[in-house]
Amino acid sequence: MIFTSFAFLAFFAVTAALYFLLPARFRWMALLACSMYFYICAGFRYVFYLLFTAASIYLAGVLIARQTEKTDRWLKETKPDKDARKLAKQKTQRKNRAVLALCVCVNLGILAVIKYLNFGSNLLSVFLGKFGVALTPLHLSFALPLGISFYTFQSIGYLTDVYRGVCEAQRNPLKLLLFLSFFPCVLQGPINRYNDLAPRLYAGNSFSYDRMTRGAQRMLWGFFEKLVIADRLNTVVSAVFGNSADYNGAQLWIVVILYAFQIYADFQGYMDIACGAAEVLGIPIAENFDSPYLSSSVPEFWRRWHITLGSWFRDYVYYPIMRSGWFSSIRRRTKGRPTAKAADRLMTVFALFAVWGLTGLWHGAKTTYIAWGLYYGLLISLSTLLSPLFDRIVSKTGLDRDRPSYRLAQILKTFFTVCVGYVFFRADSLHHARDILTQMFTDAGASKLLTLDLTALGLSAKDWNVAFLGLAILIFVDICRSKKLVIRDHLRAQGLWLRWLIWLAGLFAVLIYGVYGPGYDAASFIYFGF
Amino acid sequence: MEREEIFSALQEIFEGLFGEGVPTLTDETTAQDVDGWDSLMHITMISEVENRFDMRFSMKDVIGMKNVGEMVDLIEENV
Repeated sequence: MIFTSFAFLAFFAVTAALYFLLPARFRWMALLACSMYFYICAGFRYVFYLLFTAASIYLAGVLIARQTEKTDRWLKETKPDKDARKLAKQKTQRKNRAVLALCVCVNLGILAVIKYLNFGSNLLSVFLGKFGVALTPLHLSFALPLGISFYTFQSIGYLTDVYRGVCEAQRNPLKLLLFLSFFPCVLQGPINRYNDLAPRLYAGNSFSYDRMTRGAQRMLWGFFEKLVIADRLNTVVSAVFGNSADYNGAQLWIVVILYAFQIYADFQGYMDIACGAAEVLGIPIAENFDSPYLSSSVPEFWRRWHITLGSWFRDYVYYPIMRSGWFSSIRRRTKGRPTAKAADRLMTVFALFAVWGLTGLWHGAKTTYIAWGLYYGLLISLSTLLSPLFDRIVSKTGLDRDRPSYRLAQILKTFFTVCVGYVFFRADSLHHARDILTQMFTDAGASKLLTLDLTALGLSAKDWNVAFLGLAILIFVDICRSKKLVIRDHLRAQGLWLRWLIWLAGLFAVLIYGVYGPGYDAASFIYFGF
Repeated sequence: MEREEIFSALQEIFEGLFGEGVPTLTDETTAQDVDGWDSLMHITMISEVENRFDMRFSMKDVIGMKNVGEMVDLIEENV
């Protein structure tokens, strides 16, 4: 049941009605029943993977909590000396760590087998082939449960937080299942944190007309982004990437830039529909975007793009690597020596490449995704290592960082760097990416840009007009968001007639200018595949 | 160790990491007040503080501390 289908709108209306009509203490149960129905609609067999993950995470969480409570009780009753106290705590921590490691390995193992086994065996076969060893790659057929990368990461985040003492273990397995399967988030994120989402999920919010209208308005904007902008640009992007050798470098630059907006409108559109639906129910979920294309640097871009994935990797991969026993011992050994700073930088770069390689792999079992991840690993490492030097150059040359022209140049530099990365993300293979990049950097002279015929890219003049108008509105909304201006609040201050005129115009724009495929099924969301 | 001594040691560490432009640290100072204090530098700064005071923060504290005041509280507890 895709978000942009009429079936979803009907499902959501029934869910909201059920939620608000039931007594407050039963509302979370209604949400759970509806979320499970929503997930089952995606495929009945997928639900068993979700149930297994929820059950294993629940049991591990309860076990960790019980062991910790038992130790705390013993410490309180016996009041041992400092050494005995420390020893008891260390023993419990070791046991808890074993439970955490086992549960994480099992769940990541499921993800690895389903998503990466064939890819891994293929890579191994190619690698061994170079040494003359023949290995037939596996071609096992697994149905990839929708949203598995999202709910597995959310589960691991929850269990790690229980282990770290950041959150309490949930003692009701059905409530934990709701946390993992809440329908606006289960297929495509955001990857929520338990402490942020759970209290709102179980609260049993009462109906609010104001929240309903605000949520519905945000959903409408999400439909506009997805159906009018992203799916329209998809026509051009798919045609050109599918046949890139037929286009010159200038055309490829235009299409890569359009892809940057397509993927943003697609993913942000999904997020606006998800956040809007959750807002109607009074359950705010984590935001994933903060006007990312207005970032001044690549690290800043990644603080504003897919925020919940970035913060997940920071808290559960990057920080643990940087604080691992191995790294700590290197720090101890180099403490006070001239090599200390170099060792620290080397460790940072190592951790960054590990995180970005995994971030690429998370998106799918393709070498292009790994290359895309490592591209960012390289850029962010260089940015971290060279920023002191760059700061010195800026201060010596007297450049004013606050000047709008300086900031605009930084934004454009970041945007084009991100666009180059998208070539790896969208290409079919590394060879394909190399060919496109070669054309972009060797075959895009000014004459080709000036004589560019956009209609040769697969959209009619009318569709280009709609696409450009949509993009202009998208950029305007993003600039407003970055300045903390909420357009919905400004519209609310307008008179009734004007307000309704604008929202009805939005609705008709989606209905008339939305791109609908055969049978009026909109194209799938790009992040569904992850 | 007195709270002032901890602040003075932290000021030194911060200036070493983030440069001379670091404002005078107070209980309310947050990452937004210090140029360059992002998630990557946060963990480097934590390691420097741990080395300086010969202690170790828990992961819950590393992720959860909201301002310099909370860090100083934790150092006071541990040293």
